[in-house]
Amino acid sequence: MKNTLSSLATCLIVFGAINFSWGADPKAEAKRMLTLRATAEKVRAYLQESAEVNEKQNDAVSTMLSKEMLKQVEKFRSKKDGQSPGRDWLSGWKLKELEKSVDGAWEWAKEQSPLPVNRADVIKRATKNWSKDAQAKVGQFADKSMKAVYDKARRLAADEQLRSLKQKLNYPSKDDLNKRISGLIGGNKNRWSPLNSKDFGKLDGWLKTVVGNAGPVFEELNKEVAKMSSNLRLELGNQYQAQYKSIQQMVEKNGFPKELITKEQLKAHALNLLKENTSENLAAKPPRYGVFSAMENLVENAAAHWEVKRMEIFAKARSDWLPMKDQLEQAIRGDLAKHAPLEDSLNVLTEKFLSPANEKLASLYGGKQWATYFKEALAEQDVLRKNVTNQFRSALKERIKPIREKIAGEQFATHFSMLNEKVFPEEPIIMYFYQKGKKSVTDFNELADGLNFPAPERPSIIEETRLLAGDRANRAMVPALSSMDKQVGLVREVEKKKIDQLKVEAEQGRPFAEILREWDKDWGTLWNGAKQKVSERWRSKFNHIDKLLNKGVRQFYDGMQPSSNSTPQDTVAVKEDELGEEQEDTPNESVPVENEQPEQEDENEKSEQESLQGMCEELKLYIGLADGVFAFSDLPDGRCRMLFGTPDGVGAFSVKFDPQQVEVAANQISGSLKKPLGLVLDGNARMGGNRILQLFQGEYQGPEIKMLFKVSTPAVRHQMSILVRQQVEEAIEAWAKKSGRKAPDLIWQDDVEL
Amino acid sequence: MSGRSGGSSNLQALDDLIHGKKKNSLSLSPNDALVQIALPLVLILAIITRLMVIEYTEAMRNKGPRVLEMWKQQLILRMDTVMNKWEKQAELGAFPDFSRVQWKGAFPVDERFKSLCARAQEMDNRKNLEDDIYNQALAYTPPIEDEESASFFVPVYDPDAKYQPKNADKISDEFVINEERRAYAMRHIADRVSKWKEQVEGLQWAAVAQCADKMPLNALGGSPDKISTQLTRVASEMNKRGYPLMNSVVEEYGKLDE
Repeated sequence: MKNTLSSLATCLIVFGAINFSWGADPKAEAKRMLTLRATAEKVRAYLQESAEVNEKQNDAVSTMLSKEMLKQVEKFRSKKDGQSPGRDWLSGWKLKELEKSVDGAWEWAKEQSPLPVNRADVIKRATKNWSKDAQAKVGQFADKSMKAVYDKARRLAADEQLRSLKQKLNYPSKDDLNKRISGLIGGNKNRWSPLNSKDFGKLDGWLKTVVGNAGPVFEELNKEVAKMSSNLRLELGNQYQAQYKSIQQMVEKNGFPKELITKEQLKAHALNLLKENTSENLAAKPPRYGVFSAMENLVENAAAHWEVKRMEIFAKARSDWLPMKDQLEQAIRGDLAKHAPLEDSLNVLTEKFLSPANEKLASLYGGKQWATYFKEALAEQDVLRKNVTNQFRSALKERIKPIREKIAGEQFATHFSMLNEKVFPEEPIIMYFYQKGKKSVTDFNELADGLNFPAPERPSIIEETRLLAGDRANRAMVPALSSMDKQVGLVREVEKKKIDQLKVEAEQGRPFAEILREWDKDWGTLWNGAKQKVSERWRSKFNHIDKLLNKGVRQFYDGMQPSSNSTPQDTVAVKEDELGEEQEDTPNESVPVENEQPEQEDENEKSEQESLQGMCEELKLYIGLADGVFAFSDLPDGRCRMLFGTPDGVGAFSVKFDPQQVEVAANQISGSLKKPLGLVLDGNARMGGNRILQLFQGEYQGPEIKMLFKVSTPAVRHQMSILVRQQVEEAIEAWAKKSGRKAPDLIWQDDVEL
Repeated sequence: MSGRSGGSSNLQALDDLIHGKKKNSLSLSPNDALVQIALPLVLILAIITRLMVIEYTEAMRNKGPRVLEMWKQQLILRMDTVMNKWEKQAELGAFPDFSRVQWKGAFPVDERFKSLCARAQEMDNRKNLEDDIYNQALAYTPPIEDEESASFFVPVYDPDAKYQPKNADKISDEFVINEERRAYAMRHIADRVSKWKEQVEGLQWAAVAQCADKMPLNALGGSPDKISTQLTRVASEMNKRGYPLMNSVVEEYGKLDE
């Protein structure tokens, strides 16, 4: 092997030497070198020639670029976004051109030189770094020529695309179009109102792609394509409108023949008409699409609508499907308690008579052929059933109205004829409502209570009777209560006015009767000025006013009488057994009595009883105003008195305190308040539920307790209200914890008169 | 390994020879036969052929009678003396090949080459040069001090030549150059001048190649389509530096004024 290689090498060397001696031709080599120089200078000239595209070159390059754009429309769609790929293409093109020129020069060199010329030698001789210089040249060319070439190329490409779009203008297929138009109706498949031009506008985006059918288009053509698609959209809208117009009368105005009653009949009729008036030619340009499936859907929905509506119209026009009047009267009189409220009566009657009425209606409307169909429709079709039921109730309401009015007249005459009498209402009845804080009668049971109407008979009194009785009662009751309110108001006015004088007169020992007369006279004077504003019938003084005046004078008079023999108790409480409450194990704890004096027990007890009686009377003034009252007033000795209790007397007690020491007084009040407030809360909790149920129809918001802080003395300041309120809140919390009940919301009402 | 196996093979051959066994002459593979026999054979044949060509050429050159006629001897002696002198003056003998030319950068820096280029200009008008050499040969008289050489020279006379000797009538007819003899003399000169020209052209083309290779490209590009322009540019640059090129070189692609 070694010998073989050495032989081969020797061979080659000898051959090379021979060839060298034979073939060394300096002239050929010189010619090769000269050719190489000439070619290199040629190549260098390509790199040095102008980078700007000339007009002739621009035409050619723009045309080529436009073809490239048409191949890649998505890339060049936007003029701005297409610049980058456009520049890249231009650079690439220029580089190829440069390479082509080099190749051409090289070919020329090969022809000229007697010896072989290497391409790499040409490039190497022309420039040190061909790729760098070529790229720079290409970049320079792209920069300088971009605007001229790119703009022209876009124009050419857009023109070509538009021409192509116009030539290949596409129309959507019938199936596609039907899907799209049906899609415009949206999720509501029962819609039967027609689409408008605005609805068709939603097809624009899709139509653009269908019309173009070439995918993306250059942005310069957006308007043109939009125009083409909008023309098609208008055409589609016109075809749709033309179809709708042919059935518009039926769809909108129930223009179907009378004898057609089922939705299938209505639909078939409308579709026949629609097809007669709508031609189809899918080969035409633009195509005539025939009846749109959306239109068929509309017809179907309209048929379903009119099937129901036409039956309703029939039902409204006829009354022979409704129950007879005597049947209704018999049913109502058969169970007045069930029919007392009108709404209940309608429910009962509907339940009883609707089914046979529907059956009759189906029979009357559908005849023998369609009676079962409509009977089933009334049972199964929600809309039809609901509308016919409403119609039935409406007709029933009208039909039973005279029947119920007749019964109401009868019941009124039987049970409430006294309301028509001139003497109604007598003062006790007025007082009954006044003490409840009423200004009119608002509730039948309230009226019945006031009239002592027997409770068992009340349920059978129908709604109309109740309204009639209330109305009649209020005719007299409203002015009477107004007069009572004004007269009582004047008593309060007199009390305020005369209280200071009464203090002096009581100390001077003026007789009670004399003072009362003076008070009565003053009241009379005030009333004479005010009574013009009340109804004539109620201008005379109520007996209740005399009692109030008497009580007022007595209360203040007794309170201001000096009592030298007895030591006044600071706290006096009402005995619980008198108040109807359960006896506590340790009554003394809950009814604090200060400065107790056992020696004078009998005398004090008598005085205490009188005082408590007075307190209860005084608390009655606040009936209807609050659940608990704190009433503050002056005492002759410069101290103040606080009276606490409910308007019906529960937990009543009074405390005397020094108004100058607010906190001491508040603590004193707090200590005394604990037990009585508990009684009030207990009582309120027991009564609360019933009271709420009777008075309010609205939603129950939870327990409440309303406290009135009534101040009739300048010595008690607002601070006292705040302190007492805090004590009450704490006491309520403590009571809630202890009793396990929910703490009621405290509604605190300050009423400072002075 | 191959040595060991080769040794073993030789021993085996020796053993075979002693025992009179037949040697297997086809032990080589075809590839080995090609490389070890055919290729050296071809090589040897090529060398022999070349040597034969050289010998033949030399033989042709030396063809002729061994003893020349007297007029021929005189003419050749005189012409060779003049042409040797020309060669010497032109420094032609200093440049058997281009590698002898001194070079710096893109251009030659060689006084002898400069001299050669300048002298070679005479060859642009060969007729003049050859006539001039002929007349110089007729007129040649050896230096007086070289008596030995002078004894070889006999005056020759060409009645149509530019040079006319003073004592032409005394010259024997044997040394009178007639038309035929002059033609012979002119052929002899032309052969030698052709060799000069060939040698100088070779040197100048090589110089052109080297200049073209080393010279920077024209920054402005010139007229790159014409290779003649490139040659003119090279010639011009060499001329500027005292190395004029022969017309036969410069006008390779046509006359300069065309």
